[in-house]
Amino acid sequence: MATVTAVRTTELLERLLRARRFDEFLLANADAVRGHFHVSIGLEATAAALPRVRRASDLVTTTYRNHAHLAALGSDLTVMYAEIFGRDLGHQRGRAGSTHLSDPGVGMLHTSAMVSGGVPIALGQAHALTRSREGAVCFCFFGDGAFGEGAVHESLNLASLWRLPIVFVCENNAAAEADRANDYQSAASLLALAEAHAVHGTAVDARHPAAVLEALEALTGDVRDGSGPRFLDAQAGRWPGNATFFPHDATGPTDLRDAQGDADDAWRSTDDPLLNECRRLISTGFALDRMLDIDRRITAEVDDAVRRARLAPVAPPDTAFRDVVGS
Amino acid sequence: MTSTVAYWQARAAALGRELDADGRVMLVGGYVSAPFNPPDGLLQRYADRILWPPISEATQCGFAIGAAMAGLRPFVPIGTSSFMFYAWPQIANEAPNVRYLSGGLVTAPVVFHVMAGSRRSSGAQHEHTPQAMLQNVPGLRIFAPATPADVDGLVSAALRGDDPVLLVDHVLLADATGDVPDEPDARIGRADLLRRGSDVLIVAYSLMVQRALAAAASLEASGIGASVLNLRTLAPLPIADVLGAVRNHPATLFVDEARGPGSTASYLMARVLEEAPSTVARLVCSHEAPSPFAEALLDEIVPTTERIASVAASLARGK
Repeated sequence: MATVTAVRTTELLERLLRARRFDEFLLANADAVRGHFHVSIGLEATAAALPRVRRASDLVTTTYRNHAHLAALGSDLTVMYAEIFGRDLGHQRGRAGSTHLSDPGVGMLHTSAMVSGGVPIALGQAHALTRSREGAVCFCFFGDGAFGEGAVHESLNLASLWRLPIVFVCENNAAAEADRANDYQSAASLLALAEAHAVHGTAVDARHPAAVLEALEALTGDVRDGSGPRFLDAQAGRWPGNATFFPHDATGPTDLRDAQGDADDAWRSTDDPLLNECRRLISTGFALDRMLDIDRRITAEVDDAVRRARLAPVAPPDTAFRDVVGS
Repeated sequence: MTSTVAYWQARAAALGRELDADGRVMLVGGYVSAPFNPPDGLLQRYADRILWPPISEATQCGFAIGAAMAGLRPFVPIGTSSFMFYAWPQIANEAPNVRYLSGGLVTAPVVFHVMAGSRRSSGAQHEHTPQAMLQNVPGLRIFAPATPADVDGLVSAALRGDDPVLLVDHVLLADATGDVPDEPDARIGRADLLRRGSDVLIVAYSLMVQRALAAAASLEASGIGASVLNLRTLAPLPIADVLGAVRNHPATLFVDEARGPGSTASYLMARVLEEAPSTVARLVCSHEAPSPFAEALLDEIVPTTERIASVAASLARGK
């Protein structure tokens, strides 16, 4: 049902654009950022699908690669930029920056910037939800690298053992090997690792947001029905601009018109979830001009947000000592 | 009105009281007193509030942190303190940062309970003092009861507060007896002067308070009057109470079961010497070797009542 709706609306497109333009403007304003940061470019399909399945009482844990999750969920873009720029206007008043960005208003209470750090925490949040909210779930996002950490395996086991209402979403942008999940795993697939702990799930081609939505909606439904945790291996392409510390805009600003013909590079031609969603919409009869209108509106919003955040003041120095512990 | 009870009884009663009073309080793991102390009945009385995770400390502790953020009040009996090393990423790097990284919007009121220090002949890997390491982590409270009244009050303070707490417990305190007030003494950042003497002040926490009291009793027989100041909490550190007591004594001995480097006692002594430079002070900590199995060797490392008394006596005599 959801997929049918997705076909007929630009809902996914709008969220993909909101996330993509946010990161593109951030890269263009990188001079305002101190310290390292990461962007979500190329991984936005899971984020774009999330708001459709998330209910207001659901919680979400994310990672240091969190911009798309927050942007797609509707967190205030000016506030997000302000936090990334270390300004007092940020939700976290300049203590968090990009890697710890969170927003309780969209169900994100705390963002660990440590690989696997948020995974055990998601379990406890899911447990708390079972005590207070019927049918509520916790969405737990992490990257493929987290499978190198023991905490992920412990958490899959415990979530399964206690049938916690949790949707594990692995944003997987590691290249698959012929006979194993990736360069760092000996198991045949990440799904096989989850299945070893009796956490069932599915793998999906996360270069295609509509496919991700369909998979996420099915798994979330299972979890809400009390079937225990589920696992989504969301296999995305690898955006060429990612780097250990400072990403660079390897592909330049996205031009939706590239969805019409052959794009000039491999990533745009096959891997970009935003262009792939545009292609899907075109194939269902959507006019490109209408998408360009949406893009102009969202781009203007993002442009305005980054300008306002750049003008926001830094927090007064004495606030460095606040909120360490309660009074 | 007060009642006289053993430490382990006060601990169980306090935990039971908090479980009764607040439906959000839960145990993530059940080994509060077992296997070393007498059975306390908690496992039977509150079975529906106790979860039993597998041996997965990182996930056990992270689970509790997440539950705390989402509105519950988890108490995590980790058992032997060194088990928490498996959960270091969660205890040292997640829980203490929740409030700060959220700009004060979110808190993680979780209690990590550990049996720290030497319980004698458990060997090098089961006799650590991680409180010394974790006092370097802002955002974490560290409570270290030494008496039945302390554990009664500090269990309540930990479960009623809004911050993550490391509750530093000690197996060898189980049989210590003392008076417990009708209302829990949940003050934090306040030290208690447990004994008064005019010649030397001994500042300590946890089991070392009991050894300091025994040392003071033996010094009295030699005509030396020793005061004993019980820190009760290491974070917040009761610096004002310590300075007040230090100024009332000609000499001060700081005692800590942790090894000296990075210990609470060494930091406290530095703070005192900064504020009151004329203080005559000495430090007694565990020596820098792992805890050996053989008791005769162990007594060379961990401060004994005799060593505390001996150093206090030499301080009191001005030597």
